[in-house]
Amino acid sequence: MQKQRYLLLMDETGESASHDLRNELAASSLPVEVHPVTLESLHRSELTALLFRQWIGTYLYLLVSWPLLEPLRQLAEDAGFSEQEMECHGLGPHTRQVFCSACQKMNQTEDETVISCHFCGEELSVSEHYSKRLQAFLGYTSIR
Amino acid sequence: MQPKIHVFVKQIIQETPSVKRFVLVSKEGADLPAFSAGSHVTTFLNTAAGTLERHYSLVQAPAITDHYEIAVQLHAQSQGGSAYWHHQVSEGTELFISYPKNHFSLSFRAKHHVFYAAGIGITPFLSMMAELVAQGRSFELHYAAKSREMCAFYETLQKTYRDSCHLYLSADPDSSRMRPDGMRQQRIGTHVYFCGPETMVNQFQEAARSYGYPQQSIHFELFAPPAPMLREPFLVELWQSKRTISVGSDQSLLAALLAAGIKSPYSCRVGRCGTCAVEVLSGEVAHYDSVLSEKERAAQDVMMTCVSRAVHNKLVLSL
Ligand code: FES
Repeated sequence: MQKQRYLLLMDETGESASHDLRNELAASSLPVEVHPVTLESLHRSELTALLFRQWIGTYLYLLVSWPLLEPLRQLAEDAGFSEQEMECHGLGPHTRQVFCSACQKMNQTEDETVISCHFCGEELSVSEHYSKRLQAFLGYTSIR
Repeated sequence: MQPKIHVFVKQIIQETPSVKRFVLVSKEGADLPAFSAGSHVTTFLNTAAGTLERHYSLVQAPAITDHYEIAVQLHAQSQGGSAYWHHQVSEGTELFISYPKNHFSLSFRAKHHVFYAAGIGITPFLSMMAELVAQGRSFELHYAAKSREMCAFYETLQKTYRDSCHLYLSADPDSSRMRPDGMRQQRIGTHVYFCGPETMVNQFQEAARSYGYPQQSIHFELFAPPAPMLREPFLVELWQSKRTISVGSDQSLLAALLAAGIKSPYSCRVGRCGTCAVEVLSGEVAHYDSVLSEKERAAQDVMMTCVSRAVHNKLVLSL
């Protein structure tokens, strides 16, 4: 796509990691907007409003720690950003929350696709289904 | 052979001096197949010169299936299709039509839909708008016609879609022109749709790309297949059938294959559906379809026979 402007959302980890990118964008002659995000700001309407008021031609960069990436990507998608209009970078240790469908508890995992639940011991396969309400990936018990 | 539906013309409505709307009802008295917004049917017209196949968008709301409605504009240089509809067809005429097909469907993910229609290009948008209203989704229509009298569906648009409809009348000095720049200030997630003559569609496509619309958010339908730039006759060697056939300058490769009795599936015949794809073993293809991606084009191993041709004098196909 023919980019018209850049929007960069980043958290603390993203700030140092995005140094080169920001220099590159600044040199591009297109307008660049940078906004900080935190886990808390995810639930504030300002962030939602910011994404929803963007125009066609905006190219979005997300540079945030892993736990923030998926909810933020979902929000951007809800606003109308497609895969061709954004780039997502997860930073730091890759942990994600996996919700156990057997005992309904939250597990912290890295990027395994199969885990045994830390609470009930059930074997869970980690799906690509991300629940916005739970802010976690759904872990399904395997059918035996 | 594709299955056909036997219908008769129940009613004819003169929409404008050059556009007639035809109401088609099943000969068996049954409901017609359900269709999605943006669909068209192929009509098979038995003329003295043989069977003419013509495609027309269904213009009613997709929820309605007890009849189909199409709108036909009489073209000055009609090759028979529109002249036949206007001069030979009367209420009660029986004919065969195809099942509805859709090469111009609404995007599910779009947050806002913007339609640009020129002249009779309004037709596919009528079912789309009805569908979007039913779903409570947001859209706007930009529609250019010569004058108020020549503006097909003027009443319906004014009555049903007043707030989402922008008209541009080219013969009216007080009316503004339909321009692409309105696409610039649209929210993220907007999809644009164009229907009209090739020059208009190309102009709007190019503009949309330059404003930053990703390719997936740009949709279009042409009235006629794009005129290929290269129209030299060429030869095709059919590798499996061990035959060589020649394609004339006034003929598509698909037509030449069919004429030679080679079984060649096809549907849209305007390079939009991908049904007629064949494997290319050697030779350079001039692609004129809108199915293949840039990468697939460059690979030069598949082509749409209904529109694409040889760059040089020969192609080898796996057929
Ligand atoms: S028949 Fe549809 S692409 Fe050729």
